[in-house]
Amino acid sequence: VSAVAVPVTETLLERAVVGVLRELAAAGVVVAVDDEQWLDADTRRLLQAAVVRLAAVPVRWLVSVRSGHADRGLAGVLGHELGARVTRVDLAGLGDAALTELVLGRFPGRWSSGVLRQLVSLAAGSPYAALELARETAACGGREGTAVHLPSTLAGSLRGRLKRLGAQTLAVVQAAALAAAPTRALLRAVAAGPVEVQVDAALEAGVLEAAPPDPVLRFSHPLLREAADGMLTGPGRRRVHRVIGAALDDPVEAAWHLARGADEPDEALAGQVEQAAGNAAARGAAARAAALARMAAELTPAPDSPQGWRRRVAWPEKLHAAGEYEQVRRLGEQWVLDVPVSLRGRLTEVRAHVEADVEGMCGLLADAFEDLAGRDPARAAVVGSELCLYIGVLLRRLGEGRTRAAAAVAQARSQ
Amino acid sequence: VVLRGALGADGYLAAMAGDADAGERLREAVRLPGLTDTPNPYQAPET
Repeated sequence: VSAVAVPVTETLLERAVVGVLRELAAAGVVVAVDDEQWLDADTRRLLQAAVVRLAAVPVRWLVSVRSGHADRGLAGVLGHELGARVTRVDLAGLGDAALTELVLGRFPGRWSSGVLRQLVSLAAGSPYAALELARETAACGGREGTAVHLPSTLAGSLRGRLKRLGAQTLAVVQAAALAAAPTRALLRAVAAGPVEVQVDAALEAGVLEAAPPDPVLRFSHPLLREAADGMLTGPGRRRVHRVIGAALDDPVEAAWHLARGADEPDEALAGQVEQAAGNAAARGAAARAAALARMAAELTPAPDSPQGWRRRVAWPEKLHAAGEYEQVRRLGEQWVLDVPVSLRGRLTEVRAHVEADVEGMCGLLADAFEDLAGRDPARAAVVGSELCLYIGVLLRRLGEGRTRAAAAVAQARSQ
Repeated sequence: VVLRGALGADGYLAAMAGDADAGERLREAVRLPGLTDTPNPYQAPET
């Protein structure tokens, strides 16, 4: 979907997801999320909102998450909202005997008992780690202990596996690791050499997976993607990002890669990324929009110029939409004294929205209204409408609230 | 949309205060064209 005429606000997207799940619930629906820790921030936030809104609806959730992450993210919200209705199953690591059996079953042949013991100990109960370590050890001919080549970590094992693909195939795999939705067509456009052959090699090695007719290639495990990305040097990674950015049609994705590929601030690119941030926000991708807004601000060669400040102020606004309140507070405090008067109202408005104390929030909204009135009447009217309700309803100062309401109506009529 | 929101807030507070013309203020908000474009209908005065 390219830029849309009607913004897909976070609320609309949330309502759509909740609405679909509510409809499906009648017939029975299970939302299954494997490896929740790998979810992107926008998807996680939508699902969290759905859990809250659907707490009383018979939607079933099946979520697996890495140990240590069980009390945050989607799992944390499920625990909070569903309480005793959540069944938590803590999976212990596999025992040494089971891991040994798994390795011998998957990589049959002669293994020296010392190497196996070492391998199982390194895997620390993780079947995936055991298999990856075993794959790498076997590939390097180290099963029998005479020429032991046992990688010392899972990451080392994954790197070894990727290196064995050869330089050209590895380059294709690394380009795939940086792209959000790598396809053969995209990889042909960004990589050199016989890309089809290299993609096939990566598929045969089990590093990438394909599910035709879906053109998107996926990594067989997110850790492989991470390892492929991690093997790139800084300049190398930026170069690949630039090539991917130049090959993509989607303006948001292209801007994202071009920004990640930038070696230095660049006004034209900053403008492009700023626009992409707006497009991402209009699609309801709040976290992506916030990341792009930050890039736009940081890519601006003259940060204190009008466009520099405009991009700076847009950053906490997008962060607020993404629910990143702590960062909004930090940036607000950092810039409150220096922000130009023309943008002070917008910064004050977003600072108000992360203020926990109602009196404090109303004070900031009143300041924002003063700054915006006349300069940006539509925004002033929105701030004023919000302010009058907080004062009249929450603070029970009805007279003051009505005065504020009249001021908001006046601004709305003047636009 | 902005004017509808402002009139709605104004009308709501007028209703809380017991103003006789609160209903008319809210109806003015409802009569404004573009209700279907209102991003958050729950914030509109008629819902």
